Amino acid sequence: MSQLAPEPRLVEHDPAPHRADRFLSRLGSGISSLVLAWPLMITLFVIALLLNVGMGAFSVSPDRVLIIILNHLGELLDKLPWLDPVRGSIADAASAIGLNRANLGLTADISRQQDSVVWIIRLPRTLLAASVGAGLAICGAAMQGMFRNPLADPSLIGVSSGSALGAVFSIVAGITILGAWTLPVFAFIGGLITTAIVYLIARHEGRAEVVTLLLAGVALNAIAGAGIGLLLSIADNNQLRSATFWTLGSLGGTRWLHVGIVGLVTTIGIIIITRYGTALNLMTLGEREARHLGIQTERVRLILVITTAAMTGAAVAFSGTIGFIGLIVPHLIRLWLGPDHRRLLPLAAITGAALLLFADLISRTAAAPSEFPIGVTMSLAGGPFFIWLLLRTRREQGGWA
Amino acid sequence: MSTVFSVDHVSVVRNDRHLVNDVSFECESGSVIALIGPNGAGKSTLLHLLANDLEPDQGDVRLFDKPLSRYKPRELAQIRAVLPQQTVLQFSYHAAEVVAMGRVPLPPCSREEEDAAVDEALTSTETLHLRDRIYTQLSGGEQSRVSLARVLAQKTPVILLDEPTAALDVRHQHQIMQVAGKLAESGATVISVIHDLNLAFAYANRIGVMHQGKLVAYDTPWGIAKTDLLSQVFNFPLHVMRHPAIPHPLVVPLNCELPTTPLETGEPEPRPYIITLDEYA
Repeated sequence: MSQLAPEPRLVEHDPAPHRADRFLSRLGSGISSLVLAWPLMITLFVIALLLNVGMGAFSVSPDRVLIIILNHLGELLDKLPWLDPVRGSIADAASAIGLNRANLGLTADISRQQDSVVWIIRLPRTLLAASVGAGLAICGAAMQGMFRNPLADPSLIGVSSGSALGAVFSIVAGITILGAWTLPVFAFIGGLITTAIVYLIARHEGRAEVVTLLLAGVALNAIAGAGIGLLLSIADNNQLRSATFWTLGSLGGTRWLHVGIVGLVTTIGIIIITRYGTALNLMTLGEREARHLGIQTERVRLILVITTAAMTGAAVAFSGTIGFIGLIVPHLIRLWLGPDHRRLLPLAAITGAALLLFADLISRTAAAPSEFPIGVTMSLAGGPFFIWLLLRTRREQGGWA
Repeated sequence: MSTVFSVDHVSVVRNDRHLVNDVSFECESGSVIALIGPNGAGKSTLLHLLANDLEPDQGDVRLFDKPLSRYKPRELAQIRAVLPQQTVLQFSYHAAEVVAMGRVPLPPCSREEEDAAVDEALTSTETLHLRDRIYTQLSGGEQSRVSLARVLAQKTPVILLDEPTAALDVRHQHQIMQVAGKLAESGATVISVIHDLNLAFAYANRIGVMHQGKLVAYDTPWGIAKTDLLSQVFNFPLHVMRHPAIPHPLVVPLNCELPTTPLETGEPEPRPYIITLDEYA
């Protein structure tokens, strides 16, 4: 009888152990996100930057790299007339706290050759790699949130190919109406059209189905590939040479102008995208649910589609199609720190920059003196990672289908 | 008591079919309103209309005497919360993070207040122990209770629930409806699509019966609890009686098959036991 008696009231859950758990977990995530993640990624990024600029067929030590960069920055600052009034006081302040090159140990002599290798060849290339890596990684993170799908990536779903098609089209058609911006603008338009098509095909009841999304990517990659092939077959020799560049993905021959364009677009893009961290969190609940919580989903989606297309377009325009970075980086950060987009988006940018710098370092040094395209390096690293991801997902939740 | 929703001759037409056909009703604050009816009767569509997910093809819906379409999304999010039938997440958010998403439309507050509000919402659906678990790894019933906690964390005077009890065991079904009742006592309005008729009878102040897109009845539980009406709407022989223990109507299906073999306890086979309302009166 007593066994059958109904419980007199609802059982109160004892909150004490959970509170302790939570304290520990928050301490853990607090340490890993604030104390560890940012300094770690910034350190990795700086190391990658210095190694990239210093290493290669012609080696330059890190302190010389720093001196060369400081020299050029100093020259640039001297050219700015609006700095004149404060220049004297800054110099005074610096000498007052003993901040000069001798104290920092930056006194090594610089040869002309070292200067031009670092400043004209390697630094632009390195900064371009950093911008492209940051841009593609944050675009991947934003697209995955927007599509509610962990497999969205600018190259996987065909956006990069669309951008490449736009770029090749502008070369082969010989369009130069926008000067140095012609190619990036065409790459942007190509990316925008492809993103829109993928979105329209894959979107169903507010979310993108995995299978449809990936198959749409396959189809768009094929169509863009055919378009590029068609254009190449009617191109003349010079056009063929410049156009082949995009199909491989390479950072060679970067000029400061390229860095300026990609850097500008990427910086603006990162600033825009990181503002939508909360909106992306809510949109992972579903489009309707996000709207119930006050998010203007149509507007957010439009802004994100245009921004990611512009960033992918700019990246593709000067580095070719580099795959997988937008897939790998957000996944690594989610595994480490969880899926909160407010943390994920900015960290994806700096991690992407560091990762692509290391990939470029490998591209340039692994088979020195020859160099292989960075797109090849990323695919060699990304392909196996993608397979691992598929196997892991199948083991844990029975796959995506 | 004030009028919360006033729905005026609203219709929704899709592919020449009236999903919602000329529905009008008003609901008052401080009450639990249940929407019942067979599958495809238009209950969820009506709820989507109230949630402003879709615009009516005819008629209009007013919330606190202002047309729904005139609200800004953020403004609306501070007035009404919506629990969908199911929330599917693709990323490994913790339950607490999911609940905290319900707090986004609210004005910002300190970390401590935020945590306290999340805990309070989790406690009211008995899910505090799931706080640091990953949402996608919870069972269906646990997920729907955490989702309900997210809706409660939004702290809105109007709450729309689409089958909140569908995935729950009997204890949690009643516990959720008790939460709804308490919210109504404190002045909120809870409108819920519900399939379990007895749950609706036990907890709702008003029940709307949907049938082929029309609101065929909108009344108190005893006003709805009519054998003819319910059997006709659900196209199945149902019988309504007074609950033997509590003062609510009780509805039972009439042609359920009774066990033919004796139960293992050795007790005699139970006889069908039916009291009609007339016998009671």
